[in-house]
Amino acid sequence: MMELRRVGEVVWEIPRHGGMRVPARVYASEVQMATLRDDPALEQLVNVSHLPGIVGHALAMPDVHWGYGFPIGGVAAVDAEEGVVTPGGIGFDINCGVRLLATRIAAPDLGPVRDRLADRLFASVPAGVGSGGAVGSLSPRDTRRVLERGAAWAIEEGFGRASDLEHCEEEGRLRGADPDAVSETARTRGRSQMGSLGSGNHFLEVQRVERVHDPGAAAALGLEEGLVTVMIHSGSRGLGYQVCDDALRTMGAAMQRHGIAVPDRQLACVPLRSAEGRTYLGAMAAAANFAWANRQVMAGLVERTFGEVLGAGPATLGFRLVYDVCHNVAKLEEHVVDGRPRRVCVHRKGATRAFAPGHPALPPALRAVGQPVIIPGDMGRYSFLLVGAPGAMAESFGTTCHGAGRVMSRAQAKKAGRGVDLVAALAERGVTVRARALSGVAEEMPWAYKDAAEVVDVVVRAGLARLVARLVPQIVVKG
Amino acid sequence: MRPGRLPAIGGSVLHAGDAAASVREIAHTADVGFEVEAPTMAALFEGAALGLSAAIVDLDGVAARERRTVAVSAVDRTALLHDFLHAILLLAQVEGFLVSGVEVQAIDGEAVRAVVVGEPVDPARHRLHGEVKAVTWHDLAVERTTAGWHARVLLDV
Repeated sequence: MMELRRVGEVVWEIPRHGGMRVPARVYASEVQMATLRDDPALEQLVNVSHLPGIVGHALAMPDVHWGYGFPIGGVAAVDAEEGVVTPGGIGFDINCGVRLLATRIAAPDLGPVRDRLADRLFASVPAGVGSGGAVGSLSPRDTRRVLERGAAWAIEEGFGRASDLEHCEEEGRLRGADPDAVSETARTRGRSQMGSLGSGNHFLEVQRVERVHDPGAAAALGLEEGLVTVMIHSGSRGLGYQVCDDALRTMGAAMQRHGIAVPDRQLACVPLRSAEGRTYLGAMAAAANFAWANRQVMAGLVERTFGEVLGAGPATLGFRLVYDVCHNVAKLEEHVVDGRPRRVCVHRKGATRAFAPGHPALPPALRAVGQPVIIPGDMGRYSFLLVGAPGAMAESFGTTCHGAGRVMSRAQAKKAGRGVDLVAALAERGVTVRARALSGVAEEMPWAYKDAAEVVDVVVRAGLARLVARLVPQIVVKG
Repeated sequence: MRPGRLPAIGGSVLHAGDAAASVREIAHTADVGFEVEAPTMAALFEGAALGLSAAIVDLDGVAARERRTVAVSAVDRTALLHDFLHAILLLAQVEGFLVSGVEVQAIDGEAVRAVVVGEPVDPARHRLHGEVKAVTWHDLAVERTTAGWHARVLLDV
């Protein structure tokens, strides 16, 4: 069994051993650690600590679970000069992320139209699986603009408003995007998927603000108890998957030349400053921009659909972007490591940036409150809005958790759902669900996930984030 | 080529070969995976291709209306399986072509050529399971065993 030392109330350390370049740290309660202790995710975390140039600690958030290469919920910061970039530390779904929209609609007002709204959202926001996206096929020129401009492209096309940009991480556009580094295959995979959810754990959810925990922060972010919010979870679709696939193939071949060996082929990596590293970072940024444009388009579709169904204009509906975060990405940031500022490339795989109040990267409107962090739970219980806290800057490279984390495999979840009327079970919890496949609903049922409240409790106790509000699902649309 | 192993075009059944590959799902918390055992490397690749296709769609509902050829080469057996499965995934995602039968015509450790049968996706008729994002490299293995060949594949879904 792996040695684990408790170094804080909810922090555990795996000391350096074997090829580990730094120790690993896990954020978890005692109860969570009891089941996590034997999970392959911790072995994967140890593998992450082998990456050349890694600094501080390899980190696992409390929603950590077994992934491929990196654990999901894993964080690694590598020195910007000496370190490596690994596509496996970002994931196939580059800039998979979540956006939260606030409205001025009182939740009871949805009652009479709830079914029709669910139907219309289901029809107007395509899954893109076996069907196209919402905006048809992108021309080569538009594809390039998407890859360069991200969310701004979608706004220029009429989805959302210019003020949305400052409520997106990186203003919805990662600098350094290189459209020419994105292969033709990747472009082809993404061409007809702009404005589509995807499947798996991606969703569109209409929610009610059930409880405000921090009235000051909630007011600053436009949330009030009883009002409707909308959450969208999606990423860079086929374009991003292919960018990752292309890079793993290139890097797998290049590693030997760079004298790098890693314990898992999915952790293939190259120096950040190498030609392959720079090409990947340019392609990754372009794919991240595709994802921001994708979520921006879907948010625009959602607002239009609400307007049609409720017969109300923008001023009455009051749609406003609270924030848009990515939870699969690598970014160059400055952090204090061993007492001195250092430029590092932070890999977040199933982990969310959570900059504390006062951070210069935050726009003026958010600087006092801190960066909003959106934590989707499961579709039967609740999701959370948090803001970054000083502990994240001190301990976790400005990072916190990203969701509930699975406890059951998809096959186990489906088995658990046999003989259960899933739609009725969710209706009993007050949730109207629309999905293309019931098997997909079974895989994502509440029993397949950890309790997101316990995950959030750990990051709050660790000082990585502050809890602002709890949101409960009303309508769930699945791909 | 081993004749007679593919279902006739227009038929409704999947792989009807004599390869006897067995495909078994692996429990993985986040993703979907399967193991394949087969007497030959050709049968192993056929089994893996159908394992992937079954993760995309209910194979029972996919008719063998059209044929396509898939040919890839790679630096080693593991990369070959990865790239072969990736090519089948692209058939589904880029061309909207669902595979219900596979026959490997030629294979060595560095190249494979196969004929696949299936039909264009029809969301109204096919029971799609959702999107497979990628064939991962994590734990990907192609190994010789005493009984033949073994492969392990994890998909990102």
